This record gives sequence, C-alpha cells and structure tokens, in this order.
Amino acid sequence: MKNKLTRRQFSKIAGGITTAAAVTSPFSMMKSAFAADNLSVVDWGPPWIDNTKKIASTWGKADITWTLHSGGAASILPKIKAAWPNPPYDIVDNWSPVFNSMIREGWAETVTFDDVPNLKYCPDALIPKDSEGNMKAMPRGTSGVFFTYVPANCPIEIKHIDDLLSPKLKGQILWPNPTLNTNLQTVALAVARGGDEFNMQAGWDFLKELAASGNIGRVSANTSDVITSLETGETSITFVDQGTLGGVKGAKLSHLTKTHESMKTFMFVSGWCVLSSSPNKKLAFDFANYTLSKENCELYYQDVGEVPTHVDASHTADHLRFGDQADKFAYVPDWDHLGTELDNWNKIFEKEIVPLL
Amino acid sequence: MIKNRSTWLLLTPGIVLFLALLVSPIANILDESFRLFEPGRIGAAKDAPYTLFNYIELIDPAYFFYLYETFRFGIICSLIGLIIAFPIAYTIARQKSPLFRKLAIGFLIGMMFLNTLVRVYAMQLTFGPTGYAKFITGIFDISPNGRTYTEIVVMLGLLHYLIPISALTLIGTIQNINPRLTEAAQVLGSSRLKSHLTITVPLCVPGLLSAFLISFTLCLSAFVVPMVLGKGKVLFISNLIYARFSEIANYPSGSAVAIIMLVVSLLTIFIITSFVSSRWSTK
Repeated sequence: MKNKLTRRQFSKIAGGITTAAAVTSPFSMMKSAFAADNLSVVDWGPPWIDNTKKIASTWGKADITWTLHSGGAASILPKIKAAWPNPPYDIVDNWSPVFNSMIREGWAETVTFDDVPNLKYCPDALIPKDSEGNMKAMPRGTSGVFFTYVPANCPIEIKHIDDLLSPKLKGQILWPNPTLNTNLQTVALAVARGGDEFNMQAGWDFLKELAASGNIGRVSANTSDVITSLETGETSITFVDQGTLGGVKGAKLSHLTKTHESMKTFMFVSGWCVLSSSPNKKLAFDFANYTLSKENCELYYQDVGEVPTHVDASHTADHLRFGDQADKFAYVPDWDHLGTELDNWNKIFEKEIVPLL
Repeated sequence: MIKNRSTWLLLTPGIVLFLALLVSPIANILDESFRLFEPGRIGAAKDAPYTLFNYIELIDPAYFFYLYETFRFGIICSLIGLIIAFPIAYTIARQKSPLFRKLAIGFLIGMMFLNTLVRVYAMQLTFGPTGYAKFITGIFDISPNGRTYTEIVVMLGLLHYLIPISALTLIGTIQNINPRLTEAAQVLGSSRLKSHLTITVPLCVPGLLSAFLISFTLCLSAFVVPMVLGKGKVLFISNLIYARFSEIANYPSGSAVAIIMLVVSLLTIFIITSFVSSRWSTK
C-alpha cells in the first residue's frame, strides 16, 4: 500500500492545477470591467464586424464594447428580453425580420432626420417603420439571400433548382438551419414548386426529397459554418445572404441569382436599430449617422458586399441588380409572416426533416 | 435544542443558496413550461394563460427519436469511455513510481481544464475536411458528409471528455482494492484475465457505476459537441432546448422540453442505480 495515492496528495495535484487556471481568470474579468460605460454595439462576425470596426476607428467619439451575434440574427432577442429594461446594448446591427420583432416588442427607438441626417439619402421605402409610420431602423445595405455554389468543387453545373436532387451531389449541399435566414431557404423551395411563405407544403415536400437523397452534407447553424464549409470544400452549394459571402475569401463562387426563375433571390435591408432602453441614444444615433455617410456606405459595400442604401454611393453588385427582371428573379417576402411562422417551421424541420438526414 | 439551532444556523446559507440557485430557476422553468406562447413574441407574455399544449406537442414520434438518440449516444459513449478508462486508471493506481502517478493524474486533470470549444474545434480540425476525414472515410468507403462518419466524430468528441473523467473517478476505487486478492487467485491457478474479471471488476462495480453515471449525465447535457461536430444531423435534446430559447424565443416550449429531459434523466439514473445496487448488494 506504499504506492497508494492519498487523498491529500490528490488534492495537492488538483489544487495546483486549479490555482494555475484561476490565476489567469482575473485578467479577463478586468478587461470587461473597463468597458462599462462605452457605446455598446451588437454586430455580426466578419465581414460586418471588421467593416464596422474600421469605420468606428475613424469616428472616434467613444470607446465601443462589441458583442457578436451568436447563431441566427434573432438570437439577440432573448438576450435583450432577459435583461429588459436594462439590456447591455445601445445599438444593434440586424435585418428586416428581426426589425419587425423589435418594433413589435417596443424596443426600437424612433429615429428622425434630425437624429440621423444621412438617413435622408436612403429611399423611404427601405426604412423599417412601425404601424404609425415612425422610422425605427437605419438601413446600411439592401441585399439578397440566394443560392450560390463553388463550381470548382461542385460535380455538376447548377442550372435549375431540381438539379439539387441530382445523385451526383451526395453530401454537397450546405442547408441552413430554419433559424437562419428566417427559413427563406424552404420558402425558396416552396416558391419554386408553386407555393409561397403562406403555402409551404410544396417546400417541405421538396426538402424531404432533398434530405432523403443524402445530398445535404451539413446543416449550417451560423455564418462561420457557411464560410468554413465552403472554403474547405466540405460542401459546395448553399443558400446564403450576400454579407456572409463577403467572408468567403478562399473559394470562387458563382451566384445563382439570375440563372433560372426557379431560384429566387429574397431581398431585404440590414442596418442599425437603437434600443429605446439605451442611455446613450444620442451617441448611438451619431455613430449610425457616421456609418451612413456616402464614403462609409461605399466602404460597407466593398467589405460586406451589400448594396449601399445611400443613393449616391457607388457599387458594382450586378448580381443583385435586377432592373426589369425583378419579377422573374427577385422576391420580397412578407417578413412579418415569416417571423410569426418561424416557431412552427422550426418544429416541422425537427420532426420531419432532421430524422431523414 | 441548542445543537438543533446551531445545526440549522450552519445549514441556512447552504439552503438559501440551494433555493436561490437551483429550486427557484427550476420553478421558474416549470411555470414557463405551462404558459401559452404567441408566435412572433419573445417568450410568453407576463399574463399568458396556462396550457398543456407545450407538453402535448412533444407526444410525437419525432421527439422520442431525439430522446432515443440522446440516450443512445449517452449509453454507448459512457460504456466505451469506461472500457478505455479502466485500464488507464488501473495502470495509474497500481503504478509504483509516485512521480509517474502525479504526472498521470495531473495530465488527466489538465484535460478537464481544456476549454470545451478548443477541444471540440481541435476534433473538427483533426477529423473534419481539413484533417483526416477523406483519408479515414476512404479506408472504410463511407462518405465524409454521411451520417455514419458524423456519428463517429460526435462520439470521439464526447469521449475526449469522458475518458479523463472516468479514469479519475476509477483511480480511487481501484486503489481501495487489495491487489493481493488477485495475486492470491493467480497463485491458485486462475489466469490473469479471469482473476481480473472475477475479482477486480466486481469489486470495482460501485466505482464503475459512479463513473458511468457521471459520464452518462455529461452526455445527456452535452450541447457544444453535437452542435459543432454533429453537422446539424446529430442533435441532442439540449440542442432542441437551445434552439427554442436562443433562436426562436419560444421559452414555454423550451421549458417543457427541459422539464421532460430532467424527469427522464432522473428516472433513468434512479433505475440504473437501483438495479446495480440491488444486483451487487446481494452478493
């Protein structure tokens, strides 16, 4: 029994390692404590955060505490709700469907042209409003969610939405979780087979075929899944928004926005929403105004790829410029309806699709 | 009386903490699970009526599938973890060199401190498309994006955590067994394997049960491993709960799933413990 490890010896070893781990933690705690009174901005990961940080560095009126969206853009909502009326955020970068939820909850502060003069250069139709017509968010870009693929890694050329069912595409499709894009991907399938966001059965039937075919290699849960999967060649086809694609640097993509009318592009706006709870509203509006200048809108386009909302800002996003072909290739869904159906659609996905994957 | 009073006084901080940190949140979740959810809202409204709907909708074969999947992974991984951890724990416990024992235990404890995300992404890098996925799946002629390979990688991700914790749990148990019992059996003609199977293993049953239950509980509550390594194809109940709370904001439904999971887990652990203790206490 000489070699028996005593409880004291065991505690000593464990204690030593615990102390070593604990010594490092106060430094990380200090880091967050220093940022207590700054402008608190919520943004997506790259390329959005990189672009916003770049712009913020030239704004320079306050230090900024950054928070990243984790998962879908709507995942910030429970965090705000949990901390309401004192959520630790001043201004949130988000998009059309989530703006509607925030407006419905009364969390979006009304914005005027006095608060944000650069908003005058944004077409009125693009500005999210409440039922009384008050402006509630400040769009930075208009963009689309669409099918895209990496021709170099894809075994076939995609010409029609039915090509997704090709037996040659085993494991090649990166299918977004229904919580991403507010499940527009399934709406896209429904639209391709004669349905729409109000009549989804055709879309679910199509998705069941797709899941049973074995062509779905991964279900993406966040933007980094998309970037990593496409760049590493794990998958080669997906349905994604332009901004996320801005982060894909290592794979040459072919966007299927005008390939065939069975593959629609869903148009939306993304931008800032100042929380009505924010104690720094003036500063938050000033920051939003700065990002909406012509120069910064052009920078936003260069980094993120969304079409800038500033009417004078130049861009070359031809795949998102539809002109008189908009009816054929573009689709503007009823965002409010999508928001209310998401819970039901997520359950259908869990019950009918995941078991087939 | 004085003794009673001082006992209660000493117990009060613990009871208060227990009520505040465990009972109160669970009571809150239980209440939320019976509230009616209005789609599009963030959680239930304050004055939302009570309903059984959140539980009734879970009576669906698909949700039994998720429960089955979670338990299947939990049982398989816990058993594999035990099989691998037992020889490791045995080697460490019977090691004569104190330095080796300290280093080995230090290594196992160090593994526990490894951040879950680092651990999981390391597994993804190793067994994902940038690692050996194509090589491994090529050998077995399976698809790197297929369900079989995905399940194997999820299991590896779980075992990465379960093996050290099982080994640490078993070291103490093995140390408490007198090695002379096995030696005596071998002197009397029993083979090494037989003496271990008939003496060491049965004497280790309480420790094996503890290690199994710890591993099993960790598997049931595993969230990051299936989320990152499961490619959205392997989902545990915890992932369903997360989606309801964080992505859909349907707190009532998420609460109902959480309560069901809690009840089923407690029942399972109770049944396993009762079965094993009745089986071995009679011997």
